[in-house]
Amino acid sequence: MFRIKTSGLYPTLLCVALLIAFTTEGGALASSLPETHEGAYRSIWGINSRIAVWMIAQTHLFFAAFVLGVPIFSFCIELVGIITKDKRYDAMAREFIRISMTAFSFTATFGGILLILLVTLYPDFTSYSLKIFGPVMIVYAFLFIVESFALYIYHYGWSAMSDGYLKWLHLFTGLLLNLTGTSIMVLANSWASFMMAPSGVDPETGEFMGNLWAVINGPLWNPLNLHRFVANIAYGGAIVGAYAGFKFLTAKTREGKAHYDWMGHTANLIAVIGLLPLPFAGYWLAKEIYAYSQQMGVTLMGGIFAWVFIIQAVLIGAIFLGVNYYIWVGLGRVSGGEKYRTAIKFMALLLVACFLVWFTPHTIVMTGAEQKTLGGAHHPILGYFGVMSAKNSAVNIMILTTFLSLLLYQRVGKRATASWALQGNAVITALFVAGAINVIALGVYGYLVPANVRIGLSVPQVATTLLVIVMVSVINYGMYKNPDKGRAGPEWGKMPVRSQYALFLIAISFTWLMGLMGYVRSGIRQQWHIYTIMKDNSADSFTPTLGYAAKIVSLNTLLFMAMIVFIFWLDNMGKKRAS
Amino acid sequence: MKTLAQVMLFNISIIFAFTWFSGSIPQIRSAPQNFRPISGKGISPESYAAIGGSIYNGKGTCNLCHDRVGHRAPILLSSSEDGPHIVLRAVDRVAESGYKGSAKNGVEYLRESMTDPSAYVVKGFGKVGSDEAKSPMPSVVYGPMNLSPFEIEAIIAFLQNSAGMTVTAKPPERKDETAVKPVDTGVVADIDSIFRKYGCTLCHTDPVTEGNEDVADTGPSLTALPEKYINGAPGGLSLQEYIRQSVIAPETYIVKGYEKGVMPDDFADRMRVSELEMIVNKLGGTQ
Ligand code: HEC
Ligand code: HEC
Repeated sequence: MFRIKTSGLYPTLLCVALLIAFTTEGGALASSLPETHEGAYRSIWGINSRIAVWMIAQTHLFFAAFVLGVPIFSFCIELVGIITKDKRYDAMAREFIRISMTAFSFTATFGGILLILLVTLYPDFTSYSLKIFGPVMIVYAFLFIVESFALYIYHYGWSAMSDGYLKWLHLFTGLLLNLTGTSIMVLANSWASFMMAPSGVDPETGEFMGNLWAVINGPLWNPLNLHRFVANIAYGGAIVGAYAGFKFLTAKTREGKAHYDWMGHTANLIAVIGLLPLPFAGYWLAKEIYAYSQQMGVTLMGGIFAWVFIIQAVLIGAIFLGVNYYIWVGLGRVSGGEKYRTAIKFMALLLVACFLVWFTPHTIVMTGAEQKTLGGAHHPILGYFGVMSAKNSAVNIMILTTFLSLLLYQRVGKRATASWALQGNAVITALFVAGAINVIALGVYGYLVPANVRIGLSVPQVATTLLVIVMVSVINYGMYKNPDKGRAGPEWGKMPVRSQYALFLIAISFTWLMGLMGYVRSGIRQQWHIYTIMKDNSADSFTPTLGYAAKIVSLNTLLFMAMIVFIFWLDNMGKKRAS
Repeated sequence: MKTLAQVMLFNISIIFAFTWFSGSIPQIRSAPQNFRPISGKGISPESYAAIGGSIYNGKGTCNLCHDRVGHRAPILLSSSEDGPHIVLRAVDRVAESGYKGSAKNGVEYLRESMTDPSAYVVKGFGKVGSDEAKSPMPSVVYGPMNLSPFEIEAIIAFLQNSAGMTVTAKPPERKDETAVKPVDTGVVADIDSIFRKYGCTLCHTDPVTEGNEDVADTGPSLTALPEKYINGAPGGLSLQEYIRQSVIAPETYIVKGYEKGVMPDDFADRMRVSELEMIVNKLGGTQ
């Protein structure tokens, strides 16, 4: 009952907020841009409003990403289970939906708190937003109810719907769950993207112009949708991986270890599959930001937020290294993995080198004092590695290397069955080499052309990488299509303890990265609640230092981690009682 | 339990490492941006140009694009591959046969470049995909920069000054200013927003937020007045009295090395007593 209550809380609150919004006076909206008026900013118990909203919103988003990512994960795994008839998949999918149930109530609760905070602390902003987005929020609340139903049926109906066509019906509820979940995310994205790049309202008065679709479908909406969707898949994988890692470490039996090792491996695979396209989605978002407002773009990449990308590079570097490390150690599960040892050393070096290039700062225009000490806006030598051309090349090479790791893992202990295996390998090698050369050559060429041409160069770079991945996958599939009978399968459970820590590293870095980039996405609006439409006149309309933001992000990550541990602990207790 | 502790320790140390790393890179905090323009009564051309300079580098963010490094926009402050200094170039632009804007002279061209950037788009810098018809530069009047006429003229003064020419740009007449006078948004809860509201940080190093040393030096730094006047404030006043006087009657005593008539003298009319007291306490170190 408790769960049903809390998840009903959110839609109820929304309706109340809408009522408030529609019944209060509109203020001076018509003649000029909407302004926050006297009493527009409140604070309760002396808590800084910005921090309160920031932390609660971020916690809500962490959980939201969890309850969006994990069901996608479960759905895919259940489908794989049906196709492969391997019961392990089904059990794992179920295990995760069980955990999502509690996380779901947490999401709703934090969403409710966020709403209360917005209504009380930022009343003018909230009532303006509710006026514009009122109908969207009604749909949102409705979808939320549908999602709850789908989730209950999916979870509680698992055993009852386990055979024949009922199983497919069950899978269909899973699909419904994910469709509504994704739609909810997409609607919420429209609010965030509207705050960054408002559309469908009069730029001089902020008044709604009558076409709701124009409001929703703003210039940044779709890039944000794609980016969040892909990231959520990867995030779901990362969290599940960490869970499996912990269970692996504490498992007492061999079967337990084998099960959780396998779970960790599968989760990591899903995380990688989400991770590979993520930089491209991020690139698209950044490009659209530039196209929407060059000033916002420059603030993001060259202004006060430029250093963020150094931190981002460290985090993504950590994630890439963690993922690859885990795959490399995983080669030890299969006999025959040793022969890749030299290759791995080389790949590790390559990753580190790319990481360093990516990590090198470039145009950091900020205070005059800093420029004086550096003798210009970029470092005399390192500056050359700091430009986007070099960074884009580095990211692409990192992605290709990670893909190569996956390829090696997939091949280990197997024998190619196709008669043209030799030629196939030659072509694959050639593709990798040609791809890398093309990526690097384009990067070098980037130094020779003006900035606006340079920006365009990353498109062929990305296309090259994607092309290599797709073509190699196809050829590789052909080579290993027919099962090789002589193959010894992986020995699940045969993983050293340290490998599991890579899984924790991935999950923590991911969470932290989400928190940081969320801050940046929101922060580049600078002194605006709604960019160019509603000014932030509060005492907090400045951008804090990164160190300060990082502390908040860390605090949030810690809190989230504590709550996740609590959820897993609850789940464990429930299971113990059940057995 | 032991594993849990180990894993948690590992996770927490990662989080700490990230936090530490983020704290170790240069820390920049933006100057609060929504201060309203100040009064320009009796300002000397040099100070006006100096104010323009701080807007150019600060609130106006002109140097984000108009710099040599990124070269996202033509260089303005010196002659370069983009042509002579912008003030000279502006005159040529208006004379070009293809010029279709409404400016009649160089100064008008400068103003137009800011308020209506697409009126003339410099070759090679047009918005991607617009076929050189649209400028990527946002109008400074609306949107993110939101500059007032006072600030736009100040930038022109700055550009003229940087070309080594006589500064002809003047603050707009008072009647324009009433439109941009500070809006009293009610009780201001903290000192930070008071400084912002009255634009102190436009001329003075912000005593609340540190790290903006180069941004505002039109007036003396206000960060360490108790140390500066440790042997007594000018005029035999107590420090608190002196600060109060400096704000409401700045002309009574002019700090050495600075000019008379730069700091607005109408704060007494605009400020609330409670706000003045908060300033006095903050700057006087009695907070
Ligand atoms: C987002 C980047 C950006 C910002 C910020 C920006 N500009 Fe520009 N500006 C440009 C671009 C690009 C051009 C060239 C295209 C054009 O003619 O509009 C330009 C052109 C100009 C020109 C005409 C140059 C010429 O050769 O004719 C002037 C003058 C100018 N800007 C002044 C300013 C001032 C003053 C500011 C600060 C208030 C500023 N700009 C802020 C991008 C920017
Ligand atoms: C237009 C620029 C400008 C603005 C805006 C401005 N000041 Fe000043 N201020 C000056 C200058 C120039 C001086 C030095 C000359 C003088 O003493 O009048 C000065 C001097 C002072 C002094 C004396 C400092 C000393 O070292 O003795 C104080 C205190 C002060 N200002 C406070 C303020 C406060 C508080 C505000 C905002 C309410 C403010 N100022 C706004 C330009 C400005």
